[in-house]
Amino acid sequence: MDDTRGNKNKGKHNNRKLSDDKKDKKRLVLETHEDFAKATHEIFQRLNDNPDLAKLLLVNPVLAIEELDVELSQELRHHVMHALQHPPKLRERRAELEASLTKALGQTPKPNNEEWLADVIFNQLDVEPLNTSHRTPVYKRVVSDTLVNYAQNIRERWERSKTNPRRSRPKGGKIRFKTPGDKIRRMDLDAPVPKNLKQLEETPTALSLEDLYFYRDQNPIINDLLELGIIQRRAFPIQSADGYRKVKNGDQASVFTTWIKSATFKSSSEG
Amino acid sequence: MALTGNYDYCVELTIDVVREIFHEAFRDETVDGEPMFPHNLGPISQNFSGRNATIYVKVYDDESRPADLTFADEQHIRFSIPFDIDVELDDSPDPTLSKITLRALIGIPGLLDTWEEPAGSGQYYLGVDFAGVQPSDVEIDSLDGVPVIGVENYRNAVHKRYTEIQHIYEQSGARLVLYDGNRDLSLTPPNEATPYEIQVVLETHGADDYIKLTAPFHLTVPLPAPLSGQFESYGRIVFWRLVEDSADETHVIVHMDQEPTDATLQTQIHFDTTPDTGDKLNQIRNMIRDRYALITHEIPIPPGFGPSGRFLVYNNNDDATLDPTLPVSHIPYEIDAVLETYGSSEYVKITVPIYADMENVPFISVYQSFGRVIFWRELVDDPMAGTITVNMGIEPSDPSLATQVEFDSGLQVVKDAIGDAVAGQIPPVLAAFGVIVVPGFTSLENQMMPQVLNALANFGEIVEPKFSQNAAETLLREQVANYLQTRKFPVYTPVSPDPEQAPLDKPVGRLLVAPEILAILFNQRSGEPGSVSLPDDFTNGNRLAVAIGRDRALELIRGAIEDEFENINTDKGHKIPTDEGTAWLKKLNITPHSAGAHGESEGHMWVTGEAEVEIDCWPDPDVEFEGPLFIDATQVIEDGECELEMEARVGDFDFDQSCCDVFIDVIIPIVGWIMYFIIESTVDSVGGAVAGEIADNQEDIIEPVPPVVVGVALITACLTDFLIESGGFILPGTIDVRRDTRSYDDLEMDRALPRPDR
Repeated sequence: MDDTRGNKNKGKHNNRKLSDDKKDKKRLVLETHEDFAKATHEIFQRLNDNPDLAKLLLVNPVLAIEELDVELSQELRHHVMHALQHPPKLRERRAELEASLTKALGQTPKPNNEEWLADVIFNQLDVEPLNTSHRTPVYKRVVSDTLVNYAQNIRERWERSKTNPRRSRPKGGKIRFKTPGDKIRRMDLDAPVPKNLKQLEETPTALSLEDLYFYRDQNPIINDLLELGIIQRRAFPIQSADGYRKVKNGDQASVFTTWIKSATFKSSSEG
Repeated sequence: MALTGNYDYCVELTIDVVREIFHEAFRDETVDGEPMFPHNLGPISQNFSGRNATIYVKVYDDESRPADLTFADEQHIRFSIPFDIDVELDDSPDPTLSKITLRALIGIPGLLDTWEEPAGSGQYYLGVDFAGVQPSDVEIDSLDGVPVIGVENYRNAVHKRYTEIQHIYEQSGARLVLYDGNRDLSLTPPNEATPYEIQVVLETHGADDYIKLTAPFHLTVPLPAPLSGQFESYGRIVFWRLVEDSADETHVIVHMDQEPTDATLQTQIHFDTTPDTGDKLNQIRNMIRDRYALITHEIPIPPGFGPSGRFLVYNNNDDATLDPTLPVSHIPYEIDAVLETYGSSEYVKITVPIYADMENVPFISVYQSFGRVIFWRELVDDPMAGTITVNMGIEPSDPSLATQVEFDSGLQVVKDAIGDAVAGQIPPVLAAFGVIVVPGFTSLENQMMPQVLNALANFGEIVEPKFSQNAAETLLREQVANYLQTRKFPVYTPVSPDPEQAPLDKPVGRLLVAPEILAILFNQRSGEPGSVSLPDDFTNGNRLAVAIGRDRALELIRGAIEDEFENINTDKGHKIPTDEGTAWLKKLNITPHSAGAHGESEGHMWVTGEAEVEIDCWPDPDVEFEGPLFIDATQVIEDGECELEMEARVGDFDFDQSCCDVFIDVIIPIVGWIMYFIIESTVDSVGGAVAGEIADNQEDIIEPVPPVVVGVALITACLTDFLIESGGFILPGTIDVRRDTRSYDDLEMDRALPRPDR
């Protein structure tokens, strides 16, 4: 039984080894996507040779790749960053929404900026403020169907037990499993919007995506703003250069240095 | 030791919970459908050394005399139960001893066992079975009420028995009246005897105990002939009777009809007055004088070689024919008698006046003179007849007591010559007085003794229950064993909601003696069939705790993972598609670990796994991951209802980073499911109940242990935590025990006591 955790200091890197490796490697300067595609094998070979850096790739891919003595052009930096943030379908939808909303609102949409959002909704779109306090959006649940079915079977057994005179359905205490906290990403946009919410007398100066949820049937733009805000929040978070250094030096906890034991890349890729 | 021993599941109850259940079982017990509390048994007939007795057994368990229990060893609970045993001896003469109550606190081992009832039903009862309890198993912790028989008890018994027997005894003209105070006011003459009532004291003579009785009486008896009239006197009988223990030491017996063999303890009769029959000397003297009429008064002495003539025998000139008459001044004037003692014998010395009228007397020719004959006769007592016999014909052998003849006048040589001549004729004269029998009461006591003993015999046998300590303990052991042998008290009765679909394993009970824990084990995992290795004490201060062992937990975890991720452990893995991307989960292991493992300060589940993650435009990395998962459990009490809210927490995550959301959304449900599996399996296996509502509001209604002890008590249990250890999972809880039936107190509280109008 492995009861001694050996990865508590996984964030601490062996910088001496990395420096030694650099001496043996040829510096790669990549300007175009074609350059990047040709160098992919070499890049991921270098990542596999440096497992600590491979894990940091998900903290900030550009900085991790550049530590492998690879220089990326601005265009490639942007590409690498966004390829990691969203899968293609989501990336396309985000671009589509950003374009349509910019056109409709005459400004870059910033749905995760609560002040900006309040100003657009109440002043630009002239929507009446609603009292959404004590209201919670509907979220898609994360409990698997298997679990639900299993629980249903158990319940059926107790329903049958009514025929067992010795035993009736339990009347004891309750036990409850809390599911993971409600996340923006699981907000159910297909659920009906509650009706007859009271209006607020005073217009709020800030509006969260959770509050915006209750306005989405009032204007198609609002629905798009909500969807864009959710997509933005679902983007894979890339650490800043400072955050990257802190994670790398073990000064900041990150799942990629605690939970991720290794990340090994295949030798070929599309690109 | 392992968390759940060599079994998969274990319920642990502290001794105070077992006590509460036992109290309810004891108080709710019914026999043949009849409530048994308080437990009054009897009447039970029993014979002690030939004496019939009736026994009542009372068993207590209340505030003043509570029953209790301790854990003696792995499979025995030692019960401490207050018993009262009433013994009524049918013929106990002392009312205060007709019923004795032995108050005892007994200790008795009960076997912790499991039985199926009815056979084949799958309904198991885990509890205490007293079958096979033998009297020798019963320990007596304390015993009060063993009677100490004192003089008062015998006194009471004698007084009571007096009222049951006759008081007047008549035989051969004698009338004996026995008194005992004023217990029979019809008696005549009325009781003026001393003592007034029968006195009883205890005495020890040698190695034996006796009661000494002094019984007042009145006797009327005719005076013996020739006396007339009757003698009567109050008096007292003093007698001793041996106190004997019965062979089985359960009672004592006094045989009132049996005189002790010790001569000093023979019955005595004392009269207040002496029989007025005169003194014996007077009687003897008078009878001799009376016999004077029977003898010859003038005896001739024929001529011969010496003096001849005649001599006369006088008594107060009773014979007027005699000539000369006896001078009044003669000594004696009438036959006299005195008593003299020689050696050890008593004699009567008799002096009879005589007159000699002789001729042919030497020197003077004719001689005439009064004189006397002096002789001694022995008094012979007849103790049985109470008489004195004087045989006048028998002269004592002592020469100094030989018959003497004296004359008043003349020379001594003449007197001697005359005396010799008369002496030869004296013996037949004296013999003619015959045998004198003097009647008397010198042994009235002896005469009355048979009648008195007959009266005393009527007191019969006096029997008192007198249990020795040993006999009392023997009786207690027999009755307690007899009482308990048929009894079983359930403590834990798991019931399956669906015996066909989900039959319950037979529960096995074991006692952890030092921490005073009852452990109930289900589903043997290893070892010889039926073998039991003891579980850990995992109660940790809680009255209830339920645990699932590591091996079973791992089975459930693996099953949950394989159910949820069908293609796990394949080369490609199980596809997990999300809006954020797709991953292929190839391996996933979750194992429980105690605090301290992996540098974690809490018990946790350690997660290891491998996944291939699809990244657009990138080669798909194979990611190995590992880390801790914690279960935060919080008990919430709302409206008196308890709820355990559990939430899985992924350790070592920076929750400010939304990057983890996807991972959490994947990993948390499976952990939730694992918890669900574990709890549902545990509760189902130990006979509790879970009703799933998870599809609707992700809540379960749960009874972690069986909500009833069948026929005994209602159980309310609440889980308070979910603890993870390397040995498995622990669900500590609270437990409340209530009686199953409605008591008087319950009805009173509900204002539902029976009323005349309903």
